[in-house]
Amino acid sequence: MHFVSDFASDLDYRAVFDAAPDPTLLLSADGLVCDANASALALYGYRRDEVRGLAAAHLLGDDIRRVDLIAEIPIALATATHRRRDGSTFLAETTVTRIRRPGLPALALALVRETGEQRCTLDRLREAEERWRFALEGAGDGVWDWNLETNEFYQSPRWREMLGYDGDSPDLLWNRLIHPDDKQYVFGNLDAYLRGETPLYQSEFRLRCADGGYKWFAARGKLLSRDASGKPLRMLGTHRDITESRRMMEDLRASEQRWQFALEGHGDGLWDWDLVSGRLVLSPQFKQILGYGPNDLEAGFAWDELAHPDERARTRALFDGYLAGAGPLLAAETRMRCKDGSYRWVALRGKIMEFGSLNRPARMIGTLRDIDDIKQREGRERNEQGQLAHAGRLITLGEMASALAHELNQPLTAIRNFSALGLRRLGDCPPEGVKATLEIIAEQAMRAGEIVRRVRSFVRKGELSFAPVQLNDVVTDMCRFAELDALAAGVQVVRELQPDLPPVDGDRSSLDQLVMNLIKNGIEAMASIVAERRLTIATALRQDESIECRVSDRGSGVSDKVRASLFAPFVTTKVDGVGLGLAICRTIVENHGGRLWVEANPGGGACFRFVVPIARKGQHDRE
Amino acid sequence: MTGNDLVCVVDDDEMVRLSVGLLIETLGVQVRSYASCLQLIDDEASLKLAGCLVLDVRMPGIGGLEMQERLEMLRVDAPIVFISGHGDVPMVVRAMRAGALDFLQKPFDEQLLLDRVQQAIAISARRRRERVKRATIEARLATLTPRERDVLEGIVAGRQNKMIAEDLGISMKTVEQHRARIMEKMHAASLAELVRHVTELQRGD
Repeated sequence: MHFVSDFASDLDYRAVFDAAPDPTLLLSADGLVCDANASALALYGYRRDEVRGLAAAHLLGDDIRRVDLIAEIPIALATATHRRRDGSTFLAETTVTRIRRPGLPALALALVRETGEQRCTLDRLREAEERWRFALEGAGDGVWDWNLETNEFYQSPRWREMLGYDGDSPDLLWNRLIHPDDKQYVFGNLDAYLRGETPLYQSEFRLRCADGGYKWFAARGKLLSRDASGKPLRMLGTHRDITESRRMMEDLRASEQRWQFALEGHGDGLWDWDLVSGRLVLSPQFKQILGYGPNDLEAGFAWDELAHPDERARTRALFDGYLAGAGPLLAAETRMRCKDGSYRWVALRGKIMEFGSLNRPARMIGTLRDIDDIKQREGRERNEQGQLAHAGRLITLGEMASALAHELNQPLTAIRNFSALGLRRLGDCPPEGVKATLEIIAEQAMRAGEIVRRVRSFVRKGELSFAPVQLNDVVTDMCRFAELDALAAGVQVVRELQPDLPPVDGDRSSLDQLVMNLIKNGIEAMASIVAERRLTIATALRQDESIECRVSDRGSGVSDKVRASLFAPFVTTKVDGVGLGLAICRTIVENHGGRLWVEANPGGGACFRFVVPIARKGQHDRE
Repeated sequence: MTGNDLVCVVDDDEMVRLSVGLLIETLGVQVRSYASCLQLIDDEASLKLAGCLVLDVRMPGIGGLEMQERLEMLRVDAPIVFISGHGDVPMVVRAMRAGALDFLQKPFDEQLLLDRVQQAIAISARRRRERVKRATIEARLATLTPRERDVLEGIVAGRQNKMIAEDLGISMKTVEQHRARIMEKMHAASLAELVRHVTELQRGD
């Protein structure tokens, strides 16, 4: 440089050098400090003799090593950390300018300018930004910074990582990665926000990943700046990967739908009861069972309004008990009001699904099943069974008396006859007192017989009422009643009924009792056999204007020895039997002017047969 | 009463059977006892001989009332006296309609039973006599020639010899000869007796 030669001497040069207000260092081409002016010495805290020969990088930072100090064009080094002699540091920019000296090696002049407070603020900002970015990324969110004007899109590493792009992939623009199906929705959301209609930009959409697949993201963003005309300039926001939670939600929804479908397919209604708000949501099926339309029972009603007044307290107690932890499941059978005001029997089942504060039940979900038909049938059958049992008891008492009367009459007859015989054998001159004694015995036997007769006629008059009865109806009804017993004993009951039989003249309850006894007898007879357990009940019209009924079992049959006394009271082959059943049966049949007997079943087992005359005109004129 | 009269007793109760049998024997008749009707039916000879049947109504196997029906088919003469601990009105009515002599409720007055048994024996004796008589007449009728039968029919119809002769296309004298033969063969002492024997027989059929 020619002006250097203008200086008279090195001293002149030094004076200028030292007078420069900016810290300035003179460096050799290989990066050693040749000299430093006063300002530089003050800044770095060295004496002049100390600083000479030091590596410039020691003071100016390592960046200085990488530049050509004697390049033609002056070099501006970015802000770097400079080090003082005492080890403290500061930030400063450095400008390096070549000094050419004819005949001598070129030198470089390094001009140092502290960046000072202004730079420190930026640093703090950057640090703050780093912190929140760290916080966001630590939470798994990707951060983006979108310049809407230039369409530059800055993404945080986490953002890239979520989508599977490596750090160098260029031109990643979120709005180009959106799934085509989601575009309209997302941009609609965005526009609404930018127009100021929503306080926050929020959206859920799919973005294409590096592997070509799509992932679900939830976006949140906020505008950072607009220009003077209000045009949006820059937006900052986050993307969160929600693929997994969405999948779980969908799985859940699908399983809920399956569950609901399964229940409703079975005809059950569903209910969902929020115990905190009291709100009860009912499925369409629920409403349909009770005859309500889809829009009925929508809001603001409670269980009590549906419950039958008689059932309200009981049902509520069941709910309370369950909610208090009485069992694993709520199960209640109750009547509920239908839309038309009638009541239907339903079965409620439910379970607590959610617990709220203090672990109190917060939500119950359950089903409602229509059991009206079952209940009605049960009721009918219970009623009929009850009647039958009652009739059975009465008949049993009467028939027992009747059966006993017959059996008592036999010994009474013998007593009477033998005492009469005794009298006759005494001849014309009997010993004193013996004749009178025998006469008393004979009289008392007659008296006892009279008592027995009176008991029988009293019992019978009170209970039997004769009317035309269809024996086939009796058999059919009793088979139905015995169905459960038969089922339990594994017995198949077969009916072979001759159709269109004329009625018999009979007492329906007694005939019920008779047929029932024979059926039960047959079922019990087969309890211990291994072979096919079949009970056949047949009816047929006989030529002598009577109807025959056969009840055949395939049990072990009746031995001759047993048969002789089979119908006598208190004779039984059963371990726990009383021995009245068949005696009563026979009495019933005979009360109907018929006969009951037993034969061997050709196929094995016993066949009980009875005949009763068919009803004739005028047959009711008795007693 | 003769020592040949036979009474059959059927009752499934041994003591009743025994006592009834012993009582009836005091009448001086023979008694045979059976525990069931089937046993009695098997004893055909006794059935034919019996002058009275005493049957319990209710017994294992065949009951008394059914027995009554069977006996009718077997043409047994002996009237039946039912004894029953269990007779209700329809049962009694049925038995009596079918021709029972009586229906006694157990225990019964033994004298009533003995009276009925005696009556039954008398009835069956009469029936038997009548049957013998009918059999005799039938046997005598069987000895008549076809022509004699023709003449007999005319006599019983109340026609005179002359008319019978015209009907049959024979002479009066021949009719008179036949008539004498008929009286002889039928052991008839008079015309009236002859007509009575034949009409009784016809009524019996």
